[in-house]
Amino acid sequence: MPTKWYGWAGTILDVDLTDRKLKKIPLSRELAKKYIGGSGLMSHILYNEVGPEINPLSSENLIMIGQGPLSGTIVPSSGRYQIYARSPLTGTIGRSNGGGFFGPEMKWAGYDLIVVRGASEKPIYLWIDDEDVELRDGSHLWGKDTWETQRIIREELGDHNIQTLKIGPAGENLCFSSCVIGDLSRAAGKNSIGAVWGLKKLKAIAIRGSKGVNIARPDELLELSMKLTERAKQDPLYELHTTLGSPSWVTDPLTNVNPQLREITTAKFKNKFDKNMACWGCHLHCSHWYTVKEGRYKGTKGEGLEGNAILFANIHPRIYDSAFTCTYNTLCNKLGLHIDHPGSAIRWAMDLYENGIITKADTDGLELTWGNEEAALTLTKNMAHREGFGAVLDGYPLRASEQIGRGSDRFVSHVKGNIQGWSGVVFSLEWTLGLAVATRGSDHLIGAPWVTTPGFFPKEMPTKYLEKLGRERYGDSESISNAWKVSPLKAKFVYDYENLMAICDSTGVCKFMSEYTLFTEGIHLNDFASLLSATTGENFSSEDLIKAAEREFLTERSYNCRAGMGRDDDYPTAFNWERRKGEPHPLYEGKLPITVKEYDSVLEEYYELRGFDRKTGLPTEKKLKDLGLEDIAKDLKKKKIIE
Amino acid sequence: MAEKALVVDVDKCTGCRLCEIFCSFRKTNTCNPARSRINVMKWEEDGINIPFMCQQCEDPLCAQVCPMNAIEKNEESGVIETNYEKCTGCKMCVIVCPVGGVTFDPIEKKMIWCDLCDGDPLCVKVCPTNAISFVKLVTVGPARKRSALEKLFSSIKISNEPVELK
Repeated sequence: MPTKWYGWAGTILDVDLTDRKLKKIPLSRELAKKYIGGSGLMSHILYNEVGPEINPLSSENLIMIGQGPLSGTIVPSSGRYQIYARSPLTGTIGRSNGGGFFGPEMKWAGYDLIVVRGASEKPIYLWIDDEDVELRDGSHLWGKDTWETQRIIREELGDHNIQTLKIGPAGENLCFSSCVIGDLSRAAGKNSIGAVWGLKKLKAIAIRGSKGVNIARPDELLELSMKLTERAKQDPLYELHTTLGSPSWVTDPLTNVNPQLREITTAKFKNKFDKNMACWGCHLHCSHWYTVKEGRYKGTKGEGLEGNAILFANIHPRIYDSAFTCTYNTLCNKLGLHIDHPGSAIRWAMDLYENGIITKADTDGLELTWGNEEAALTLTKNMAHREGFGAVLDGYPLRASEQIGRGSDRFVSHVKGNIQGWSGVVFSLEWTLGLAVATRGSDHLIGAPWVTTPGFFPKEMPTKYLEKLGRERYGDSESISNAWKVSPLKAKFVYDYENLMAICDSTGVCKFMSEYTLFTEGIHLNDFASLLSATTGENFSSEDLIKAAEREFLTERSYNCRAGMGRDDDYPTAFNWERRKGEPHPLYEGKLPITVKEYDSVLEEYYELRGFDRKTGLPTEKKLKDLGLEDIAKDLKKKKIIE
Repeated sequence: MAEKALVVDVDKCTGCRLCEIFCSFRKTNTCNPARSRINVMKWEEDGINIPFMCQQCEDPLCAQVCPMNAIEKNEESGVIETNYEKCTGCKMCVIVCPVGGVTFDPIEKKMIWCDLCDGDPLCVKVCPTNAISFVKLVTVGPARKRSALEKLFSSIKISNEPVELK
């Protein structure tokens, strides 16, 4: 007698591309309660099924797409989904997150998780129409950009309301800079997961759902959802975020810190942003529809922009033109490129060129001087097609600098092989720590508090405000307002923040509606507990959620350590260099606000909080057992990773 | 009681589809756009989003064509009402509606229309940008004339000075 599911759909779709077999597996309620869904569930599965002996660019790697029990419901901003695989870029757990419209459609079609294994010989796409699932020929889509792919799929299946995930040429060419694109602009970007799709010849997944999702306690959920939506409006950053989106709290605040960046604030984009756009079910509508109406890039149109676009298309290569940003953003989305990646790689190449480490002989004759728009565009296209110097750059950070040699590693920024900005030791200690300990490599989206960075919002969140937050949360008025205070509270801040972000990713809710952006009035952990209980009918407390989050991090940590990683991989660029080479990083010597030793002291506090060994950073058997992860403890002991 | 209608300001719609999910929730206590009486139509490559629903025709074709006389326009409220006891599910109403205002609820297997939520439409309340409003029909024409004139005059100059009507 099947149990009725509330919140969760109750089914996992398992697709084997080699055997062309499709299976529907009932979701285990025990697993659902333990891991919640989304990132929590997929970390668990990836640990069990894709070990360190599996080459990420092989058919044995898995692709998983999952949302969570709150996805596709009236819970505010519940439209996100995760895509997992072992990362070809870093060899770590590969996790990426997307918005838009695919996630909810997946829930309404009746699936909590889609697992894709094996590989197809010829390009295919997966078509999921409620319970009818089909593998369809995708050869006519191969080589097409992401916009055209969606267009063709909808026409061919005769339904404009079909939602799609797809790779562009970058994923097809197994680029490290590739991503998966939902809709026209929603990038599941990090960790080069597009390349795994390309390897499997999975061009796209198309989905349509009409089954909907059941709610256990509708009246309660309605009240909670309305309350949270109203409360969000009280947040100091609500106004900025809902009008100008993430650039207003990414790139604009940086100008408070570095006045040189004033050339590329959101004000420059106002004549290109035609209207606000939203992801599914979200009242924050922080995206925009943009059109460039004059000048060299007249005719550019698309959706965006995140602060990243400006960081990596403008600030990194020093191209201070807002029409270029829009054009670059659309280009990356169509090619299926993770915009951070080519932006970082081109910055690195320009650093090398300007410093005489590479010349035109290396760069296909391109002059990689700061601000060269033509060169940036050409190189980006070449990266997606792995052509010429673009092929070298696609290997940024580590593979590319190894290939070039000549001291080019001096200009590389990375954590665990994932791209990072600059020294990594910037903004605040909590930012630095969170970025560096993240399981998928340098990560600004999981453990790195951003909007509370002192100095970013002198008007909306002045020092006194940050002091109040620090007192309320940690009993210390300096814990947040003093960016570089070397204190165990900084580790606690990262630990708490990571836990909350993990719950967002396990439930399918957007972090921008949580403390990532709406730090004061967004959805907090206790709100998630109430939302989950009312939606699913299962009782969740804040403590349950903290445990679930700890489980997720311990699983991912174990995954990485099983693949040979440890403490040495938890350092930002500048400190990584110093530890490995025994001397300060040449570019940052004397410029860093803290020392390695000071960082170390906070890192060890973080390890303690997470239940990792203080010295090695490896998971401890005790913590694994406390969280019901005995299988992982056994596995790690068998492999001599832990005693 | 003056007849009121749902009016959409297309420029304001962000495409979030909150109207859909709350409509389905209000009517069915589940979250399912397939059971929503309002649907947002999109032309993504042009950034266009348009929420659309039954237009509560003055002379409804659905009512005319129904072989069971199950459909009627309520004279007082103007809302199109369906007697589901009489409805056989022949779907002639779906076929004949010129705007796609009638849709098929795949769970309850019945035809559904917007019924303006007993005069207090929920979509209006939940729309984050007030893209949908519920207004007296007689005011719609004049309101549109007004905004059209504002746009028109912003590009006309009288005595070399641009005229701004606000």
